[in-house]
Amino acid sequence: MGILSTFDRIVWGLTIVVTFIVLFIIGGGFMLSWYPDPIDARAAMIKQYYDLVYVAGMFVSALFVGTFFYLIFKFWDRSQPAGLE
Amino acid sequence: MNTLEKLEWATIIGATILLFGLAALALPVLDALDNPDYYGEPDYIVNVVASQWSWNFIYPDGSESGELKIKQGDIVRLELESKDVIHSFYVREMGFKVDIIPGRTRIHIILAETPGEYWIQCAEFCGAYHGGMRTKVIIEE
Amino acid sequence: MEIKEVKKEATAQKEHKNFYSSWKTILTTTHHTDIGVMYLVFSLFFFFMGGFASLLVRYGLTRGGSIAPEAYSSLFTIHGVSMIFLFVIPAWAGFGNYLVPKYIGAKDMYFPKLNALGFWLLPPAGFLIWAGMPNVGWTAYAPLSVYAAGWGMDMTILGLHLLGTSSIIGGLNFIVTIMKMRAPGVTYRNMPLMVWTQLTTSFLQVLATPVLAMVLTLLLLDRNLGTGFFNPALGGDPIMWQHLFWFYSHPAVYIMVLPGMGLISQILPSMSRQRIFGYSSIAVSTALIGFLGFGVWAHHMWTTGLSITARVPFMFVTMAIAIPSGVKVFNWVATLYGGKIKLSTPMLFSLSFILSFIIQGVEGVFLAAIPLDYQLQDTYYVVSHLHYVLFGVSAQAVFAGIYYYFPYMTGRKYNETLGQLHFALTTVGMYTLFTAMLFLGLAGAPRRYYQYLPEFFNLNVAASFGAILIAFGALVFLYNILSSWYRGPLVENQEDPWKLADYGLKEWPD
Repeated sequence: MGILSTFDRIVWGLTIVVTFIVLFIIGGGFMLSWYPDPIDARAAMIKQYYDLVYVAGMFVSALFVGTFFYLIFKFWDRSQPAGLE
Repeated sequence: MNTLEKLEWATIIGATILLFGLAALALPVLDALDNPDYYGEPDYIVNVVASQWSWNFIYPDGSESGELKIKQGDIVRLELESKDVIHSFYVREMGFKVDIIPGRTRIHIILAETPGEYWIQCAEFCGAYHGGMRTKVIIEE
Repeated sequence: MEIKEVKKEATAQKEHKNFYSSWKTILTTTHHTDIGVMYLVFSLFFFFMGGFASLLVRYGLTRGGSIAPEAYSSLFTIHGVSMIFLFVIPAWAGFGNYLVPKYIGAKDMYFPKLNALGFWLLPPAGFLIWAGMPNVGWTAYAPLSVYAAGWGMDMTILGLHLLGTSSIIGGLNFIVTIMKMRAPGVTYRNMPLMVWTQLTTSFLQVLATPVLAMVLTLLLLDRNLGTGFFNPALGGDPIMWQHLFWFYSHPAVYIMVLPGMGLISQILPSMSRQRIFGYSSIAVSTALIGFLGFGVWAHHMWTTGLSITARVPFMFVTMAIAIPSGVKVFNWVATLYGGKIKLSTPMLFSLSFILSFIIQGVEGVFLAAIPLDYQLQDTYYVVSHLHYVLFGVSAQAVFAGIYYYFPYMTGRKYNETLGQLHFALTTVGMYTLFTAMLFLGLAGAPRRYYQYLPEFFNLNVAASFGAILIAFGALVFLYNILSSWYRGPLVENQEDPWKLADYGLKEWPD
C-alpha cells in the first residue's frame, strides 16, 4: 500500500489480531457467555443471527480499534510536553 | 487519489455491504419471529393480563394463576392485554419481548420445548414497582 | 476594507471586560462569549446535579432496598432529564455561542438579545424540572405519564417547554449567524468543521423541537383536561406518544453528539499538529447524519408491534446512518496518521471519544437489527449504548472542549497533572461502568429495575465501582477548573496558547 513499511504492517496486523482476540473473549464469544442459552427453535435462530452479527461486529471493532491504538503509539510525539507550554 | 483516500472509499463500500448484508440476513429471522403460523396450529390459548405490578394468566378451562404453567411440547397462543399502562412480556431464554399496549391485544405463539423454570420480567417501565413485576414460566415435562 | 473592520472588531473584543465582575453585567450582557461561558457554567452545574442523582441510583442498586422504589424512579428520571436537557444540549449552545462567531469572523451573534433570552429561559426551566421531580423515566411514555399523580409532571412539562423554546431560538440564531455573518473568505467549503456541525445541529433543533412542544402540550391537556389523546378508551393511542416523542428525540441524539464531533474535528488536528484528513467527507457526513436522523425514529419502537412493512425500511435507514458515522471515524483516525501527536488532556479525551464512538456504533448495529432488538430492547444493553453515546461521546467532548478552549477563554493555564488524573479516573470508570452494563444487558437484566435477580449482583457492583471513579474524576475536574480560572498561571499568547503557528496551523480565521 505504500504508506507503511513491511515491519510496520506486521506490527499493525498483530495489533488487530490481538485486539480481535481480546474483544472476542471479553464480549462473551469464547469461554465466557453473557447471552442466555436459548430454549426453543426460534430463540436458537436469534442466537445464531446474534453470533453472526457478533463476529462481524468484533471484526470491524478490531479493525478500527487496533488501527487507532497502533497509530496513537506510532505517531505519539514524546518530545512535546503534554501540557500547555 | 492517494492511498488514504482509496482506503476511505474501501471503508465506505465495505461498511455498506456489511451493514446492508446484516440487515438483509435479518429478514428471514424476522419472518420466522413474526409469523403466527411458524409453529403451526396452537393447542390452546392463554390470556395474559398485565397490570401494575403483577401478571395474571387465564387458561382455557377458566383457571387463573400468577405463573405461566405449560407442558412440554405445547404450542401456546398467548393473548396479551394490559389493564393500565404499557408493560412488556420478556422471557430472555426465548429471546423476545412483546410490549403490551393498553387498548390492544398482542398475540404471541410460543412452543414449550425445554422443560424448566424461566423468568418473565416486565421490560417496559410501568411505575415505581416495575422492578418487582416478575414471575416465572414453568414448562413441565 | 471589510476585512480590516473585522480585525478592528477583534481588537475591541480582546478588551472586553470580565462580565462576572458584577451582578448587573451578568444579568444584562448580550456578548456572545459571555453568554457562551454562562451556558457552560449552567450546564456543568446540572452535570454535577445529575451526576449526584446517578450516584444515588448506583447506591440503591448496590445496596438493595436502601432507596425506596418511588424515590428510585424519581432519581433515574431526574438523572436522565438533567443530563440530556440541562447538561449536554446547553453545553453545546455554550460552545456554539463562544466559538461560532469567532470561527466565522463575526463580532457577535446575529440576534444578541434573543441569544441572552435563550440563556435566561434555562434557569427557570432547571428549577421547574428539579422542583417537579418527575418519576416516569425521561421518555415519559404515555399512559404512565398521563396517570402520574401530582404537579411534578406538569412542572416538568412546562420546564421542557421553556427548554424547547430556548433551543429553537438558539438554533435560529445560529442558522442566521452562520449564513449571514461569515467574514469574507470564510465559505461553506472552508469554514471550520465545528461550524458545520453547529449548522446541522441548528437545523435539527429548529425542525424537530416543535414536535416535542406539540407532544408535550398534548400530554399536558391529557393530564389536566382529560382530552384522551393517549387514552384508547377515549379514542386515543399510547403509541402516538412514542412516534411523536421519538420524532423529536432521535434527532435530539444527533443534536447531542454532532457538536461534540465538531469540537473533536477541531481538537484532533490541532493536537496531531496537522490538517484534518478529509474535510469535505466530514462535512458531508455531518449533513447526511442530520438528514438521515429524521428517518430512523421507529427503531426505538420495534417491540411495540409495528407492521413489518413499517419496520424494515427503518432498519435499513438505521443501518445506513452507520456509514457516515464510520466515515467520520475513518477520517479522525486517518488524521492521526503521520502527525506529531501531543497527548495533552484535551487530546486524551478526544481519543477516548473516538474509542467510545466506535463501541457505541458497534452496539448500535446490534440494536438496529430487529431480531436482536427483541432480546436487547429495554435491557441494560440499551443503557450501555446510550451512555457510551451521551457520556463517552458527548460528555467527553465537553471535557475535551473545556480543557482545549480554557486558555482561550480565561487566558490562564489549567493544571495538566490534575487534567490527566481526571482523564484517567474518567476513562477507567467509564469503560468499567458501561461495559458492565453491556454484559448485564446481554445477560437479560431489564433497565429501570430497583431490584434485580441475584445473579446480576456482581456486575452491578462493578458498575457502581466505575461510577465512583467517574465521580472522583469529576471532583478533580471541578477543582482544577475553578482553581485554574482563579489563579492559574497566565498563558504567554492567548491567541495561540497551543502553539499551532509553529506547525503552520491556526485556530481563528484571519
